[in-house]
Amino acid sequence: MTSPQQIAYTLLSKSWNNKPLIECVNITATRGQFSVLCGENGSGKTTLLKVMTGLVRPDHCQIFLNGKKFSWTRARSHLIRHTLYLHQTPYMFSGSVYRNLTLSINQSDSSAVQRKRMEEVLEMIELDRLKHESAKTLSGGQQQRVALARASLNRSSFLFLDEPTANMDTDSVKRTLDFMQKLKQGGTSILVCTHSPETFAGLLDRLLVLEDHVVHEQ
Amino acid sequence: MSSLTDATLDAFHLLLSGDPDLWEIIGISFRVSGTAILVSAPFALLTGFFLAYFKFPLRRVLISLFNTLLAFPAVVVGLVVYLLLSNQGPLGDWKLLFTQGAMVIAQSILCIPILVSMGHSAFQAADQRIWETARTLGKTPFAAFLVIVNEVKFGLLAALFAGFGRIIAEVGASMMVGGNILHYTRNIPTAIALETSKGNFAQGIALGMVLLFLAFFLNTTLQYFQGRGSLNH
Repeated sequence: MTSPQQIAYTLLSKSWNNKPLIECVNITATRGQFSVLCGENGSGKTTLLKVMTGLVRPDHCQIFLNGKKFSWTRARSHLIRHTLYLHQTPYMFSGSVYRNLTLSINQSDSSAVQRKRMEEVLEMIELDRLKHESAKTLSGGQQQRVALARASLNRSSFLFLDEPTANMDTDSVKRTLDFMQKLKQGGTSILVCTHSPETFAGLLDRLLVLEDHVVHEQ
Repeated sequence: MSSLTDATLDAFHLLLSGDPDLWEIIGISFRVSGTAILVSAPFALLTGFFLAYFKFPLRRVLISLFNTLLAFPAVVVGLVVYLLLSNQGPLGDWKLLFTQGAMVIAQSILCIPILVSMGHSAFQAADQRIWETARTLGKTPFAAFLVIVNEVKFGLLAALFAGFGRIIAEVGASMMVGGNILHYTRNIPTAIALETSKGNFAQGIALGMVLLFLAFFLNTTLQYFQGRGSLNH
């Protein structure tokens, strides 16, 4: 299946230690749309994002890809291929920044195309001078930018980002927002989970709130 | 004291003069133990990975079982393999008793619990985000497994070295299922036992020095790689 234009998740429920965490969520992700998801600590935002990206199995969920209904089991491989989850504290693989980016590259691309894309992304996010540094030694904010660059190289059309600007200074936040703007204009769907929705005001299309286990649109 | 000194000097002479019998025994040891590690490592490390990453019934029982098997005496493993491979045993038709193949089987059984247990610890200590990041970047489960292997490679290397060190130095199982046949199944530890019983201490000491040097080499290699890893992350 080519990348879908829209993914809809309905009747989604997930419990944790026999206690309901998320129930009856009806949530959609659409290409080119920027959404922000807010909610209190422990409200289940991270779990919701992991379910939406196929990393965590829900108790129940129906998924519609371009309107076609899939069970979660059947949809999982599509979710893994077309969506991407970014941790609040991203994991950096051992080795250089450059190596971290190569792990995200589509293997069917030629090495020249890969190199060109990596150089472009590194320049866009202003990390080109750090490309040979060990990724694990970078600051938290730099690691988040590397992770975002890695995510964008993956060519996933749906990005689910958990507090992507949490560890960044003002300059880094601005660069990251500019980068997200470019991704959005390129047709990528971005859903950001944050406690500071005002940071993303310039990009925002939809504001979602996870409250009492249910997602509401504001 | 002088006899020990003489024997040690003779041992150095044997090693440095390239005594063919001595080096043949060393070659057999490395071939058999190396094969046993190669045969058992894929199964054992995958088992360690499954025990660390997947929850299923009896998982904890299996972990306890492999940890218990760490203390399994080599001579008992030799006895079990002997009974299985003897003419009256269920695998007697394989005609493997008193061959290097039998020694590989016995040594594989001995090192599997070490590889599973240490592999499990290495995988369990790995950050859960490695698996999630690899999967969300579109890696297949097997490719994600290889990414984790790369991230915990020093722990796995330590497991392989510990397993190799254990089996190349064990005497009981090799003696029982190999038979200590010259030019065929005589390895370092069985040769040491035999030569010592004959009063030929020089060859015993020479072979003992090979084992000590091997232990030193494996530890130094591991320290080197771990040091490089911590510097380069």
